[in-house]
Amino acid sequence: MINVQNITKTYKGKKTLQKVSLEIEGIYGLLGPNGAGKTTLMRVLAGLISVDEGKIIVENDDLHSTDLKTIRNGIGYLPQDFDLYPKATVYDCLNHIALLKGIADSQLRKERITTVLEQVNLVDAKKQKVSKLSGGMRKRLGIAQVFLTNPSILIIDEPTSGLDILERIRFRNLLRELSKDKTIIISSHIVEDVEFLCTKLGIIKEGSVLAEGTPEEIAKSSDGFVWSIQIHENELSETFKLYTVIDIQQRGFNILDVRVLSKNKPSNATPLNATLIDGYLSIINGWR
Amino acid sequence: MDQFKFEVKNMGLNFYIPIIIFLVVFCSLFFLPAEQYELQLLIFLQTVFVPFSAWWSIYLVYELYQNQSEEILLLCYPRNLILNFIKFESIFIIMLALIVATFYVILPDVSIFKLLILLISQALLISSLGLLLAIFFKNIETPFMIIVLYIATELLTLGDVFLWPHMFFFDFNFTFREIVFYAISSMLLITVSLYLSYVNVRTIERKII
Repeated sequence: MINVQNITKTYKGKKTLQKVSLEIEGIYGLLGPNGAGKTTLMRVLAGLISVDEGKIIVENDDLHSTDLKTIRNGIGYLPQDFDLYPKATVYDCLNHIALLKGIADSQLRKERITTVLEQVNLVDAKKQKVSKLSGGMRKRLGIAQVFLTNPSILIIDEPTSGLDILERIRFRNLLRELSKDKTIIISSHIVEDVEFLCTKLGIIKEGSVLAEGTPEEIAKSSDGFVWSIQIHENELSETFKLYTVIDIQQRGFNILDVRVLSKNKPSNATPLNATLIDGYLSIINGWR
Repeated sequence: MDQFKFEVKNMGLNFYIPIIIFLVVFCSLFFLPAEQYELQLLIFLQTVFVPFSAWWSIYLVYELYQNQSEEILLLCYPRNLILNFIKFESIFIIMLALIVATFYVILPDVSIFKLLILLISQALLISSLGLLLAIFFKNIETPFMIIVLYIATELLTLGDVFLWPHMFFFDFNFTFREIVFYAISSMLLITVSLYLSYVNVRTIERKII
C-alpha cells in the first residue's frame, strides 16, 4: 500500500501536481488527459524527482521524510519511451545493467538474468541485438531489467503505447501475471487496458486528483448520463455537435444506434448502463 | 573490466575516432615542415588532438540522453560515470604521452615535462567540461558545438581578442611557474566540473534550462 499525501510539485513556474492524495494498492491505474501530471506523479513515486510539499508513505515507511534513495530501492520504474543499449544483445544488456545495479557476483548475476528472462519470456531472444527487438519485446526487456533487483513496487508509464494488438494483449497479460505479488502502478490512455488490468483507479486533470475508486465506482459516476439514441445517418453531424458520442452501431439501412453522454436526456433516448469510459468522461467533464 | 569492454562495444566506431586522430597526429609529427616546427606543432597538438579528449567523455552519457534511457539508468549509472571517465581519459593520456615522447625524440630541446603538464591539463579540462555540458544540456551535440566554436575563435584570434579565459598557449615562451599555475587552476576546474557532473547526472530536472 502506498499512501500519497498532499503532494505538490512546481516545475518551471507551473504547478504540475497540486495537493495530490491517493491510496495506491493492487494494480493501480492513473488516467487523465495529456499534460495532466501522470508522468510527473510517476516520477515522484519512483523517487526520480523530489516534491515541494507532501509525503509518500510506503508500507509504513515514511519515504519523503527520509531520502529519495530509500524510495528508489524498493521501486522499479519503466518510462514510456526508452531505447536501452541498442547495439548490445539482450543478455549483454541485462548483464551490464545488473553490474550497474551492484550485482557483482557473476554466478548470481547469471542466475538472476536467467530468471528474469524466463519471467518476461525472452529466453529465446537473449542473443538478439536490442535494436532488432519488436516494440513489445523491448517493453519486456524493460521489465526484465527492472526485475533484476526484484522490486516490490512496479511503476510503468503507458505500458502498451506503441504496441500492436497482439503485443499489447501479450504485455498486459504479463503484467496481470506479475501483479500476483507486486503493487503495480500504470498510466494509460487506453481505457480497455485499464479495465482489464486495474483494481483501482485515480483520475487526474491539471495536476489535481478528480476521483479515485474501483473501475465500477468510476463507471457509476456517469449513471444517468449515458443514453442510446437512434438517428438517421444525415443527423450524425448534428449529434456530434450536441453530445459526446461514445459509440456508433449501424442499425439497418441509414439508421444508426448512437451511444452518447449527456447531462440532459436527449429526445427519444433510452438510458444505458455506464461503463468505465463513460465514468471517466463524466469526471473529466466535471459532471461529478 | 566487463563494464569497460561493454562501454567500448556500445560506443562502436565512435570509440576509434580519437585513436584514428592519434595515429594521424602521430604520423604528421614526421611530416610537418621544419621552419617554426615547434610552434606549429604546439598549436596543432592543442587545437587538433587535445580537444578529442572530450570525445569519449561526452559519449559516456550518449546512452542516457540520446537513447532516452536516462530514467532507467539514472539510479544506477552515475556511480560508474566518474570511474569510466578516468578509464577512458587514461587511454587518452597514454596516447598524449606517446606523442610528447616522440616530439622529444625529434626535438630534444623542448621541455618534455612542461609540455606534458600543459597538454594533460588541457585534455582533462576539455573532457571534464565537455562531460558537464553534455549532462547539463542532456545531449551530445551542444557540447561538441561549443568546443568547436571555442577552439575556432581561439585559433583565429590566437587567444587575444575575447575576454573569456584562454585555454591555449600560442607561443613557446611559457615559464615553469606559469605552467604550474595553469595546471593547478585546471585541476581545480576539473574537480568542480566532475563534481557538478556527478551531481547533475543523478537528477532529471535542470533548474536553468
